[in-house]
Amino acid sequence: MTKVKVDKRRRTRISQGDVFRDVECIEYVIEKNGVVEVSKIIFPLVLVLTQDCDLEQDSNNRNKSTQNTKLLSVLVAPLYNAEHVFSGEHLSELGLSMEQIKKNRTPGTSLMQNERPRYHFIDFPAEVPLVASIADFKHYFSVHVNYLEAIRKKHFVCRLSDLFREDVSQRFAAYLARIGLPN
Amino acid sequence: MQNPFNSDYLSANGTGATQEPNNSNAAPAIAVLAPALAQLPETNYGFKADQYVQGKPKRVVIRGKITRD
Repeated sequence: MTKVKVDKRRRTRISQGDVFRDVECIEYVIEKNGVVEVSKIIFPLVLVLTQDCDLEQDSNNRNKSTQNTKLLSVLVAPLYNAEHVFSGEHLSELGLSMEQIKKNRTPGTSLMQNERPRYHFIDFPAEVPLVASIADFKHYFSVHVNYLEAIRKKHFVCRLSDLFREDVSQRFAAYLARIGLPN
Repeated sequence: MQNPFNSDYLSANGTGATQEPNNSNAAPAIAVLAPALAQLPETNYGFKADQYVQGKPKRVVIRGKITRD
């Protein structure tokens, strides 16, 4: 399996392919009897999926007289520890039991070769302190662009370099564009 | 489509713009761009390799009483 190349350099904006840590996803907000209850899921790692040109235009045109290119939200997908995914335990803290995938058999090897549309396997190089991870496109969610920008300085981890970022982008687009045919 | 002369553009090998422009004034722009790219700060990933164990997503529920004016 090819190890990805990672760009360690920080940019002045959010970019496609950025990896952020400890990102919150709001599940629900309810008010009852004068008490507000907020439930959120904190993802240890997420990968930014929004098209980079959209992110660039949002960043460059923030203070312009019109906000035509302003983004409201950024699409991200969670990055799970690959070993947890293979054992089906990656969402156990949320009370969810997932499919077990045999790592050394066809389901596992095809996943690691990025032949399964739903998943994207990322094997980080040795100098990056991240274990092999799997992005689950089915679990994509959006975060407000202002929130991600506010946490960018402290929560940015690294960025996939161009080719590997474009590979993720292409595969995510293909995943969203799939057509389910009836049996 | 990324503008290679945008200061945010980084090529895969980190050397800056890789495309030769047709503009006769492009050479000075590239010469200015390269040092700026080399000075971009690097991430330290936010944690040390031996301290980080990637965990699982966790749910957090917070509650607060509303006070209305």
